[in-house]
Amino acid sequence: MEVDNVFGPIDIAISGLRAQSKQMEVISSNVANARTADAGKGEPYRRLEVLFESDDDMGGVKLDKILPDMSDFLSVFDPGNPLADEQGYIAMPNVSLPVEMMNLNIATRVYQANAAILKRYQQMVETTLELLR
Amino acid sequence: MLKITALKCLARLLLIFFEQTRFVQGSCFAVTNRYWETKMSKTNSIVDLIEAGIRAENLRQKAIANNIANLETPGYRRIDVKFEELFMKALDSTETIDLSEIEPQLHQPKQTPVKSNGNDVNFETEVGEMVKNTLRHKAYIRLLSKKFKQMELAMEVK
Repeated sequence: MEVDNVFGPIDIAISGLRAQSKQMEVISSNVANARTADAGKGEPYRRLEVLFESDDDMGGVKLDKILPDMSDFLSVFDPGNPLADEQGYIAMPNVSLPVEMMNLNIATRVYQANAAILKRYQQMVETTLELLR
Repeated sequence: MLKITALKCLARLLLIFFEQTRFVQGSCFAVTNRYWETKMSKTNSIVDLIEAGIRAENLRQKAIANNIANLETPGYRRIDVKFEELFMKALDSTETIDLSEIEPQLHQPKQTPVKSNGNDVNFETEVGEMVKNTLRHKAYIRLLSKKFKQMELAMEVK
């Protein structure tokens, strides 16, 4: 990135907005599948986690990869369920709703912060343009 | 008949006069700043430059509006306007250019990741492009009004 790029901060703020909207997408997938006992492959839905990485030399943030959370599945006693084993237990997704809600809050706040930066920078450029009047 | 020939002669004279003044201007630039002489002698005036920029901004705004309208259209690829690169290339080339001939071009970058429905429009990116476009447009408009004010100032001198 050039040093004197006038629109650099705008690109960075937009990269933040995009990253957080992706995070939001993953969170909603986790919440929607919080009770999915069979996600194909014979196991319940595995919680997904987004990994971000910084773009080189002040280029903003970018999505690195979306990885499955490898922690243990929840074991729920539900003998009536057709998927239950002999003891009556069934494996449920490793999604914890409070954690998802917390992440959702963080994602919302970061999105707002990026939008605020975009707005403030726009005002700054407009202040500069006022000098041309 | 005589009148018409006289008019033609007058026009030719005027042309020669203008050509000479332009030539004098050019050499004046060459003495003060060689770089600006090569850059500016080909362009008609700053108003033409700004006009070309504003035309490109207009088209880009249309392209962004189109992209946002097709946010969920399956198979749609976002369109972008290519103008600045063409403009720079024209300014750097050695032959004379006509600013009205540099047309902003529409193209599909096809670089952004494609969603499951074959659409690659990202709302946030479009908003960012729009903000940039607005600021650029504002800068051009301010420059143009400044130029007009200068002209007015020159005309007011008694």
